[in-house]
Amino acid sequence: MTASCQSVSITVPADAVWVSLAQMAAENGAGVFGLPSAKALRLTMGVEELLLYLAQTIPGQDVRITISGRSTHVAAEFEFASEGMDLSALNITSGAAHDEDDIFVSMPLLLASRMTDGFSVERMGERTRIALRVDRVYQEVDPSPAVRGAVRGAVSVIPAPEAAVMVDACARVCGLYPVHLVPVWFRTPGKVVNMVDSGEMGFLAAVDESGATCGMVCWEAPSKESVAFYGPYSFTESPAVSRLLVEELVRTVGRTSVKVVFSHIATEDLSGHGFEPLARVTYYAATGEAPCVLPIWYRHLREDFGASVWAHPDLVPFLEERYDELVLMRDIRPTSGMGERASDASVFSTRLTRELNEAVLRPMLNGIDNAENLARHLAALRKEGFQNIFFQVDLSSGWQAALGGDLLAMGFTPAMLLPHGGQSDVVMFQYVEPAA
Amino acid sequence: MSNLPLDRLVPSHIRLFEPYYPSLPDRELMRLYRLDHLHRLNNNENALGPPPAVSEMLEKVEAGVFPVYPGGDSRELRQALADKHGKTPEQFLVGNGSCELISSVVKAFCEAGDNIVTADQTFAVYEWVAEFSGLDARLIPLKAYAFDPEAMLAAVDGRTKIIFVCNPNNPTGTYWSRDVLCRFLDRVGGQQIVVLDEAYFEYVERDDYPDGMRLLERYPNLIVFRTFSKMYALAALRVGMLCASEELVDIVRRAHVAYSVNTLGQLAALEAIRDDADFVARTRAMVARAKGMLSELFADMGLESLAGEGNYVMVKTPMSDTLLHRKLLRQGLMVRTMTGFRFPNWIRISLVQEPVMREFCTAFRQLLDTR
Ligand SMILES: Cc1ncc(COP(=O)(O)O)c(C=O)c1O
Repeated sequence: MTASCQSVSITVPADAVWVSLAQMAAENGAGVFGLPSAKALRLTMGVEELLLYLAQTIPGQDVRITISGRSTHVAAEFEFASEGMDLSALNITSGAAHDEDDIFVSMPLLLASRMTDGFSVERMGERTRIALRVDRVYQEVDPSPAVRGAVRGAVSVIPAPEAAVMVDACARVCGLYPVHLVPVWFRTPGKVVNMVDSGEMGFLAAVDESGATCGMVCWEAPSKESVAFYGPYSFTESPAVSRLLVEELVRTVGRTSVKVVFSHIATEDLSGHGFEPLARVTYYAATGEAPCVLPIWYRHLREDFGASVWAHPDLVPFLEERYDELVLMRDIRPTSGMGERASDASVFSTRLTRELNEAVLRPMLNGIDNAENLARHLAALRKEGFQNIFFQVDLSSGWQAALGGDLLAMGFTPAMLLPHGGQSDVVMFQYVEPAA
Repeated sequence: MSNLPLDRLVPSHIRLFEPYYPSLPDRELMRLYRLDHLHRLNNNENALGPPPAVSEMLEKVEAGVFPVYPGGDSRELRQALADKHGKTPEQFLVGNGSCELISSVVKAFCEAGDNIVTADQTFAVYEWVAEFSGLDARLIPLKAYAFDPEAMLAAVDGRTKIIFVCNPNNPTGTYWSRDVLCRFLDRVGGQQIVVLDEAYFEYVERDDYPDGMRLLERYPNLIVFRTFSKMYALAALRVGMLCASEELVDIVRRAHVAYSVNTLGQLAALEAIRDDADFVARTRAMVARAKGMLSELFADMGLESLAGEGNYVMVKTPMSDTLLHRKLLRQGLMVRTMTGFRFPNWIRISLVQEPVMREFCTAFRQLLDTR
């Protein structure tokens, strides 16, 4: 997939004297790339916060700041050599004071993340990238009346239809389906159109002979080897529409390098379409509505000839059961961290999606303080109001797998096992609030 | 990760191309799946083979042949092929499997901006070679599971250099009759190279099935592919061949690596065609029996299946093909999933000896019944 992108970059030393230049670049860029001024201001403040922070942690080092206009958002990315840096500064909880009460005031990364709609820290080899994201503003659509029509004539499925069809389809979905089955951005179909145009999202519409749209399904690629879909949404009483959409989805992604398809939001039981149940994940809405349980369906697109994975001994029973149910052959190699070489301070990357009330943590660097760091993250994110806190462990990595013990001890449970969800299979741990 | 400037070094069509990952070696698979036996029904190999004369010859091979390079142009094998088919040795080119020849033909005729035309549900190597060579592969949907001549002709333009026709088609087993093929070649009118891949030629017993070798004089733009991997059961030795006019072969040879066919492969192929009638007949009988068994099973279970020509059949299963693959593998039976071939939830099964087929039928029925 190629995303359309325009960008400007500046390289400045990490020093407070350059903050105003960086702010100007951010404000100007955000405006040129189409953010309204209130949103541009938020990006500018995030950039200020971040550069000031880097001026303290890597004083004087070159930082490349790139402001990019992407299909649905404007991003500010900070890239710098992490060599010689105290990497623990990349934890979103970095700078936390010991005093529980003013804990957030002194967490600059968390502060920067608050200004924006999305935040991520990634390490790529010797370089580190921190990205701030501010979403474009889209017009909300009025949901179409909640009536299902009849199909006229044969139904055909068309990929990436014209914008008007996509907008209409989103409005129909909003009218027909309960909120928990509809991704929030369906309410702003302009965003969907932009994502499809830029290749970030795949889209299939079902159309009958009269030209009426009678269903849709769409998908994104969360990793190189997987796609996650939303739907199938049918606007008719005919079960054929869903079947055609799912078949065409599998046919379309079956042509690519993708190994597995799973559902982000599945609207119906997909066992009749060659899908296998993977998990049931509880999701908490930001608005305080009752939590919903989302069944996750999945299907392999290719042969799986087996593999080796690492696992903390406490997780082995879960994995054995899941692998057996999924008929996946795995050599499970237990590991609990044998005191092998680890740095003083661990680093976790954090991806925050505020509209979903969701935080996804991933381990980046093994440290002797893994457990404490995990506790710090958990406390900070809970205080910040995140209710859907996930920790992603790639079982191709021994030290990551060994974190399973700490995670279980801290109240996380393995919410799902995603075959080929990363380098290898991935376990998504989810934090479960202790019963009151 | 290295610091190589791969963005600059690697062309975009290679960066975007997905490498092919073959299955694990038998021993490793058997260990992982805790199997005491493994039947490979995934690659359309001939489980009877190789012909007895080949086995005897291979047993007598002396180590002295190994330090010496093989004959660089497979001269003796080409002579034997010429005698067998009534051609000249210069009309043959031998390759390291027909896969290598696909590559040689594409290199010989195509340059940047050119395209090839083939079907979207056929042997994938035509498409792959085109794509990793930076060429456009125009993939035409099958019609009633067969190559669609009209749609393929419609896709041809001034930059189309090669049309690949798989006859019979892997995996659907459909074929073009002599009439359909000749009409197609007439319409192409010599403007493109037409590759007729007859990898499963020796399996077909239909009266109206054309022998591409007999059409070379009439159609000088025709190149016929055959392989020793299928009927002759020499897949491990990698020997394939093409036959065309001397003029075309001379051109393809320029893009073809000499010495790519090893000595054992050349010797075995030579032996395989010397006296093949009995072996071919026995293999055909085995395949026919197996085809009958599976067709009956699938009909009995009410499943849609395709049992055309070739030593394979396909069936559409009411569950995920990839899940069924894993469940069958757990019982020592390896089939090919077809979702990647653009047949979601179909599997393809190679046709082998009766006891193995019976084992497959039992396992298949039981897995679907207890779903
Ligand atoms: C249609 C077709 N052509 C060519 C080949 C490749 O054969 P070889 O082993 O000669 O490379 C195959 C093998 O599966 C095939 O099915």
